Amino acid sequence: MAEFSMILANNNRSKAYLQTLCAHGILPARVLLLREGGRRLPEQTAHDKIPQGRPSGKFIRSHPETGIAFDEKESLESTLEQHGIAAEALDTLDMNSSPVADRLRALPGEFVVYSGPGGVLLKPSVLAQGKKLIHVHPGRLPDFKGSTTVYYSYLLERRASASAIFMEADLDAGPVLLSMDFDLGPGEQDIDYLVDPAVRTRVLLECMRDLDRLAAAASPQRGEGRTFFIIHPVLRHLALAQPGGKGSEHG
Amino acid sequence: MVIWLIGLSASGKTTIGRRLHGLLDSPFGRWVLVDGDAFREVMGDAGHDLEERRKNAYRISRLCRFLELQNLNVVACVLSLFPDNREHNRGLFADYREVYVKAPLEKLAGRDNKGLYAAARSGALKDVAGVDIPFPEPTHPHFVLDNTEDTGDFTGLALRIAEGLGLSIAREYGYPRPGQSPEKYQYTPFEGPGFLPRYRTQREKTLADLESRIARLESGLSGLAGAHFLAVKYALPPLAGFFLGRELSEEHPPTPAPGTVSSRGLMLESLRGGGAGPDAGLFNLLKRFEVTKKVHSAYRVPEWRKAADAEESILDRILLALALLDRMGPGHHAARGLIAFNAVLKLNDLLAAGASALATPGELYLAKLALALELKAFSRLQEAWHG
Repeated sequence: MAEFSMILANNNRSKAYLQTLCAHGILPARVLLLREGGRRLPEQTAHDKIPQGRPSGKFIRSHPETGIAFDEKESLESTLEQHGIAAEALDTLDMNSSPVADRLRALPGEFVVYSGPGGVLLKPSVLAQGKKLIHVHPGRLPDFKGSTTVYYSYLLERRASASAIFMEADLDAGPVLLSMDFDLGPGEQDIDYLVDPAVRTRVLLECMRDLDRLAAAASPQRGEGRTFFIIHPVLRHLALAQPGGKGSEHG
Repeated sequence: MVIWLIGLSASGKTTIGRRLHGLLDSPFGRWVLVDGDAFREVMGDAGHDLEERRKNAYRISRLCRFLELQNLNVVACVLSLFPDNREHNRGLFADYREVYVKAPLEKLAGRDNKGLYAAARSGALKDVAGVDIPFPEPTHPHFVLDNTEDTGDFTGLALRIAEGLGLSIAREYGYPRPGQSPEKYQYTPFEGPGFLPRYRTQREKTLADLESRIARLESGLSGLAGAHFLAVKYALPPLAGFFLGRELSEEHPPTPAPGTVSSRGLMLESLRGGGAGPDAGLFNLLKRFEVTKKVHSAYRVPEWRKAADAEESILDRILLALALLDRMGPGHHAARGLIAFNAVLKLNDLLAAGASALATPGELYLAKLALALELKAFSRLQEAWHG
């Protein structure tokens, strides 16, 4: 399998990625951890306090539809330590900053899995570092570009999808390596902190298992597709108010 | 009211208490959060043996009474080891609600947020409640919350307590939140099944306010007449046509400078066509609004950047909402419709938040329409979703 590195911000998605890949013996050669002092990203949970020690106890998040489970309480540092993976922390969340560009160039392998802050448009200086950045977008492309697409595909199709792409200058526009769709089961859905990380992790796992072939066959997206913007709380609550779900007025 | 959340370490009482406080506190009823651990740290002089713990428990009770006497409601998250203290509370507070946040000890030891149980079992720590200090379970709490499962949905658990105690969540719908940028819609907390009814109630209140202002306007200015296609389109009174014609400068549309498009011209054209015809220009306006939360009077094309002398007006935001509402429903692509409705909700949030600043008759008429049509569209969407 091709050598690869990872760039991770401390959130459930990164934890799910790293723990799942490690559990399947797919280990990155090196990891860059992005953080910015004590700043908490909107997608971070109470368990993502920075700096992160080794909290006791576990908080297993499990998503049967994708077969993904991860421990929300296990910090990225402790997973890296357990598996002896070399890592470096940078005091920035800005993918376009020069420290990130410099470190990116020096990362081992041609491929770098990205799980930093969302909605980032990469500058040419970052894209020119000779790496292929793999990003898993939570939606089928090009039909569901943009933000919070996991909610939109749920509202429009009652399923969640994810697509692994090579990042390019335009948002969610790069060649697609792999897309998968998952029917969402009835009942409670923690979309932000469980469903979204789980569907993306499943696609990443399948992508990394067959990376050489998928990378060679990655195809440009067909058509311009459709761009969605951050979902409004009313639509978000409507999505969660599925019959039998936690927000249901009927269930 | 004093809500006394009882539970052992790692039962989740503090996290759930915080969420409960967040749900209950509003300008209509102020709530204070008293966390036993934080109180102990602030006082700095309480030990962990039984006698010290008893002293601390009664101090927390006195603090809560002090707050209650100032008409402040309290969510107190306490270990509460002493049945006599719990009984004392029942007599002390005017309105006392006892809640037991329950989970089996083996589950708590598995979570062990503070490492207390592991340390107690290894002998490194003494005086740990539930291990070497007995924890008598509450015998007649007002509500028992079973928090055995690690759902991570602490707001849902807080809502179950509120529901179990018969408390209504007084928090009103309101976006953007005071002091919060309108861009910050992402990761807003899930507020339970009451959220959508609260949204509807809030919009209806704004509508009622606009209607009464329009009624006052019409009674003072009856007799004026005019004509405007929007008045006809939406069956508005002739008076509305008079004002709209004047305010929207229909007869004299502003001529866009070379290389720019007039937002108003584009929106009026779309409205005139009843949602038929190309929508690319309209969706470019939507995109600019989503990114900047502004609708400017003119944009440079093809890059869709604000024109040099472009201004922003509330009327243009309302017109964009109306034009987008025309692009929903039968005959329109569902995904396009959802993108449009998402922007309408945000446009109308800004409209509702600034409704008191609506000054002209045209603004009042069109704002009322935008809100009423949004509610209708939402009802259709909700009906379709529930199948």
